[in-house]
Amino acid sequence: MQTLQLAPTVRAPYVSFDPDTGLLQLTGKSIPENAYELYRPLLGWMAAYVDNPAPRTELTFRLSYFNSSSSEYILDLMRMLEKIYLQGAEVRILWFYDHDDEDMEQIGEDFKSMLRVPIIMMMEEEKEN
Amino acid sequence: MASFDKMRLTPVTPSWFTAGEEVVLSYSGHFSGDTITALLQLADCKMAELDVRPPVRRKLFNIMVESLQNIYHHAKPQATTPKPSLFVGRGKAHFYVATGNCMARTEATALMRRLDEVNAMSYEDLTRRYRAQLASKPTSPPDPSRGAGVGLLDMARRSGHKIEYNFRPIDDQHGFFSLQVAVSE
Repeated sequence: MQTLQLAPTVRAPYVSFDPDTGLLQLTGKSIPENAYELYRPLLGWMAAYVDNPAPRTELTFRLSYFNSSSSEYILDLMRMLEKIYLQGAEVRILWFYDHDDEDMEQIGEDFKSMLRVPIIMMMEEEKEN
Repeated sequence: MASFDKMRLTPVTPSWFTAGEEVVLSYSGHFSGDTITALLQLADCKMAELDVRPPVRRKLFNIMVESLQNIYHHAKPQATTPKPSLFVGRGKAHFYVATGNCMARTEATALMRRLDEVNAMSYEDLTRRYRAQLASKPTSPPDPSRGAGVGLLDMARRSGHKIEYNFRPIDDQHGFFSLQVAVSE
């Protein structure tokens, strides 16, 4: 299985999913008009990954903006990992948000309340964006 | 914030704003993916120039994304007059994002009903509904209108204000629907 790496654009985040280390990350903006198009390869990759995951999996979200249609696919990614977590795999999700971004914090809390996989809220000090 | 009826969101009447208000951004025409990206970048620049606090900037940016993408997915290209519009304004204590586009009357009626529902909800209600709606979405196949419900809830929650709307009939079948979302400074 190969590492999935996607360059960021003005509408899409940097993506790096490494199947060997189990370190998966999305960084930047996720505001595509067509979220399915953006997330389809990620969901496909994840579907294959969960069949044979690394000993530890850590999915990191470090997003500055995302639109509501992305949130559905983010939830899907999390759910796929939740499934292997409930089967005994070591999985955690890190949700980064700026200290003054109450909306991003709230959405992290939303996901947390909807899922049983551990979601760790990571507040970041300083700076904007 | 200007009262909503004073805001004439049409490209033919470039006089939406009243004294004491500032135009941050105004656009009308076709909304392609690239246009939307450019408008968002422009809005971001303007807000940086205006020294808007980052939390307010982020809220406005997100609300712009949702409203512009609504137009992108729902505006009927064949109903060309008046053209879809975006207006970002600054009142005394608020910014607001106003968007408008032509819509079938039936569609507008359904949308207004949804907006009334959303406007009647407290922050906690919005959060509960947002979670329930997100949780119940099937994954595929993709449906471009799928995000709409969640999008309205998301905007309402970020805004913290009631979403104002207006529907102006054009003919028996169509009208111009405009939506205004405020963010306190």
